[in-house]
Amino acid sequence: MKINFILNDNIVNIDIRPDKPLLRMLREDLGIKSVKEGCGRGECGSCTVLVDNKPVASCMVPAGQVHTRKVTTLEGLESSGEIKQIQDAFVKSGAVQCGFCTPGFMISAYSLLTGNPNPEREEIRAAVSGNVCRCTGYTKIIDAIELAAEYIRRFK
Amino acid sequence: MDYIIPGSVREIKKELGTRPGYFAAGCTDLMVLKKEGQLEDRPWIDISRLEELKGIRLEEGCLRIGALATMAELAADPLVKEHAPAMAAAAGQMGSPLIRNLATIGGNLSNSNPAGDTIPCVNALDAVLVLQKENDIREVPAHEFCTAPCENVLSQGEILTAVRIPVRPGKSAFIKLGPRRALAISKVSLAVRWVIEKGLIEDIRICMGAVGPKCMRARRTEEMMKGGRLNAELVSRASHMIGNEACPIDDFRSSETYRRQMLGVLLKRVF
Ligand code: FES
Ligand code: FES
Repeated sequence: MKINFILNDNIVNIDIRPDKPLLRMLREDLGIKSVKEGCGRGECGSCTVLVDNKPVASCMVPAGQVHTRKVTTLEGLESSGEIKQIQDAFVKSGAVQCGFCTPGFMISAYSLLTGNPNPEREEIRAAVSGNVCRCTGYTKIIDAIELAAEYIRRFK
Repeated sequence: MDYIIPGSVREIKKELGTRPGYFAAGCTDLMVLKKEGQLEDRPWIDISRLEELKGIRLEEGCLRIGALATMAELAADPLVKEHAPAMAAAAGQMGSPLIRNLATIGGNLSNSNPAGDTIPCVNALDAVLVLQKENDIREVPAHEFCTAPCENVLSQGEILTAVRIPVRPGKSAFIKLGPRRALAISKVSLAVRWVIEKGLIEDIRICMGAVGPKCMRARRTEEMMKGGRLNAELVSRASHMIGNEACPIDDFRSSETYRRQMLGVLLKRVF
């Protein structure tokens, strides 16, 4: 099936099997490697992307459904000030070990902080409850997102 | 593969003919089944763009929820929070934020999994489910919709288009027990709707999820509570009764005995 959609501000036209997971299409057909396949069944969040600005597990989205929609991955946010602040806060807080989960956490954090610049710790926990990290034990990630919120408020 | 994007609900049957198909809306169950290799070679019908299935609004004394309403929308919608707080609570606890932005109420109901959390809600809230095939529209009371685990009254080519919840005075709540807070499939769940009149319980509906082949009402407990004063003693009596009204199974999620006992615990938490 021929589909077209916006990927990180560029129009993509592609002929693709419509039931192929968006995650696989991004990695295998479009060279977007920030999205990772952890579980492939909606439970780990390492494949998190924004579809029409909402964070979703891209392994759960059939490619046919993104036709005419807007898909944003970490690559597309690189130029945004917020992602830079989130990245700095992750590094500063020691929230990255192997890094496999990090892009997913960063997208969830980005989505939280653009809507809620001053979240409670509990709200941060809820916002990343679909993201799994097997290394850090989460505390440092929650710290990082709290710090990122502070950086972004100051930066604005 | 055959991937059909119908222009309207009415066209679905024509597009499918006599073939059975898979409806693709939020796809959070469909994509898992696909990954597990459990899908047969059937056409997919992508209904995710049908405007007529979207929207949450008040209409003729009912709260009308379109089948494509996502869990995130239900959890945040002011009308749902006001008129169907049990539904908003159930939706807000399902899966994770990454799933709630995809999963739809129509999908959760149509899969009719006994552990589906919207099912006890539509039962407690006395909802009517609107089904459509071609030009035929029928309304089915929530309690008649599911017929067995993962089975319901939908015929081939027919889809659930909306849920209508009567707007009535009273309160409702939903509580579930799972192994952890995020991404947990219910071991036991309870949706309760009640009306207090002059300090007494005038009406109450208690619906139990995940403790039987389909959603069940705790009728004896309801009868016992009706007319009583809602206080700790009554709730304690009710919480001892309710476990005997379910027929839970032993499975990898929980044992039968545990599920019976937890019904009582959850009922206490509701009030
Ligand atoms: S790979 Fe998508 S949620 Fe795990
Ligand atoms: S840093 Fe390794 S999984 Fe999170």
